[in-house]
Amino acid sequence: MTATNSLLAHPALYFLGASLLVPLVPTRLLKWLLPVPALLAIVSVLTMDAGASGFADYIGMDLTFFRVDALSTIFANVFAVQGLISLIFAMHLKDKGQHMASLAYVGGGFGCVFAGDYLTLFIFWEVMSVASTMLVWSNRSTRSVKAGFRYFLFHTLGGLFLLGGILLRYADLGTMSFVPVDPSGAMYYDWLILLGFCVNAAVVPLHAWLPDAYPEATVTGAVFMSAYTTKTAVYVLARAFAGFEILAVAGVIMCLYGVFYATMENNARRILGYHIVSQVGYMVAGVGIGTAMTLNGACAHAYAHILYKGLLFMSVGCLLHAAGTAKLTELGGLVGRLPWVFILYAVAGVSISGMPFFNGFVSKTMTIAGAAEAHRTWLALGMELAAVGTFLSVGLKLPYFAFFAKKEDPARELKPIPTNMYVAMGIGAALCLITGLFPSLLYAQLPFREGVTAYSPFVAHVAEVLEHPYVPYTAWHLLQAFLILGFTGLGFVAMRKILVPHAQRNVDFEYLYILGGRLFLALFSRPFAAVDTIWSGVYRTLGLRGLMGSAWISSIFDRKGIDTVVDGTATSVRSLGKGATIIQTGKLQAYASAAILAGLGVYALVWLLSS
Amino acid sequence: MKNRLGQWFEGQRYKAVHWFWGFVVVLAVLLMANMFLLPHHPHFAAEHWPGFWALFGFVGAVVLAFVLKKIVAPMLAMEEDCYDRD
Repeated sequence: MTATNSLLAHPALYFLGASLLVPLVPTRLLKWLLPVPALLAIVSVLTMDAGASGFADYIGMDLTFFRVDALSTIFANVFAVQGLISLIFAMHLKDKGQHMASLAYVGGGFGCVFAGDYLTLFIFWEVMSVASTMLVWSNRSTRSVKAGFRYFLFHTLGGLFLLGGILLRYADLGTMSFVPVDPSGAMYYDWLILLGFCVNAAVVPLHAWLPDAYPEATVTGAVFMSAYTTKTAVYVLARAFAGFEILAVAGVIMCLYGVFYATMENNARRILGYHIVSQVGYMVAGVGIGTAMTLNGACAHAYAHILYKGLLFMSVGCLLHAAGTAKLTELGGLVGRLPWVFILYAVAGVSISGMPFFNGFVSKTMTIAGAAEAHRTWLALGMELAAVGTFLSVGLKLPYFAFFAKKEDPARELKPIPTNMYVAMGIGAALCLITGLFPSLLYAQLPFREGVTAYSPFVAHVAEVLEHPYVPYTAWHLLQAFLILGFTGLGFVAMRKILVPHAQRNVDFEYLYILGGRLFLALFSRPFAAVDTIWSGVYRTLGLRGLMGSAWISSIFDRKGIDTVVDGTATSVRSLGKGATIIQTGKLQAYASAAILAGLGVYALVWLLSS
Repeated sequence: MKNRLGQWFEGQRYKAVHWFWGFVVVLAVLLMANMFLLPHHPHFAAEHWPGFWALFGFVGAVVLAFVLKKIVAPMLAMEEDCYDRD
């Protein structure tokens, strides 16, 4: 189906264009222009029609930049809304580099969501990876530099799995088209692609980059990052790998694993990071179970999750901004001094916990009910237990120990919180409540609904969902939710002395990554260093003598013959060398962005020459 | 005018006992409702017992808190800045 959407309506264009324009805009104006790309994106998403456009032929491969259907629209919709909220939240920042990185990052997310082929997907995937690394490094501390390196290396690894899979698939099938895979006929390259996607979806045990790096990102950078990387991965999993049994089990493991670590964690932003793993687990499980109801649940949950998780990161970011720390052991009784931050946090906290009337309730229960109706009782129970743990750690433990547990030290200096941060949080909280109270607003965008052709033939029970759509607000659902949450609260009251946070880091899989890195380093530094030493010896005794001899001959030749002919060459070589030293700053962020730009340049050149 | 909301929250600290008993009353009402209101299509047998989800929530929270904080956390503990040193 071909649509009339012009490429000019592509939201990635607005964000990537804005990212390039940022250095040219005066700082005073920048603040007010910042939300413009998000506003344009919202208009574009609301007015675009279904179908594909933006085709290109690239050295024999058919590319599709702009595939619009019900699945891509729901993700694009929430990406645009959260883009607006996050940009308003970041309005006070004067650091242009950070604005460029976050705009490029959001643009990459839109590029992935609308990509109709694997090559386009891969390019935007890598743009996201580089731009998000910048958001970690923008914090400019040794800690964030190190965490950023680990993050970048791991995403490069995931990107290579993806690229390997894409190329092997192209070699076998001769197509780049990004379409659903038959779960019963998946080939080795499909598994490689799946592995690459799973890295970004933070599927346990490939998840440790997330709670490792997100707490080290800037206050505003973490708000952006909480929304796009993992949810883009959920989108691509839903697109290609619906019904893969391994995802159903892996998703429930993620749900529980994230909650377990969050219950032990001390750093508030790391607690939230582990809860991304946990909440994305519901979506991955929904995709893996693969009925129309669980896929609808996964998409609805992605929508709700982006809103409340953004609000959680914004309000905890406010604590970090004001008090200078996000460690619960160093916070305590802030409710008296930051009451609005507490209220806004509480809205997000009850949303993520699935409290009725807030958006987590209308999406999480859909996924769980879908699992139960697909007769996956144990998976459904696992998700219910994760819901208990979610309320325990994010809904109760975090706010209690940050806002209530101790008497606040009145001498603590709090930096004032800019108005724009409050405005952004207010919009987020309003949307959490509105989508919770009027779930039809959200359900009207689901990928399996009346009048929409199913995007994948491998999704089961589509007709049932159209016939009996899920109704969240029944007396039993309300009672069940309040019973679970209420008695979890009672459990918290009983155990609150035991739950007191401790100043410790809990070892996770990142330790294995570091061990792997050390092993690699040892391999290179010991045996290769030994070979290098021997080689240097050989070179000193043999090579150097030969070189001196030939140098002597060539210098005679040079003086007698060349110098007189081309006099200017030496000068120009010297200036070239000077130019090269300026480019070689030794900064990895500069190299990484240059590599992306050079890659895009080569890509464009080949396209121009071949068409 | 300044920060009346914050002062109100601060004041609630001294009324924690009232809040607790209010909460207990709410829980009792919920349990009572569960005697009469049960799911029409239970997904498994236990869902039909009144109080099942209450027990699930309470036991789940207590066991999670105890096992994780008292047994698992000491095993996984590292210094908080362990990755920041060279």
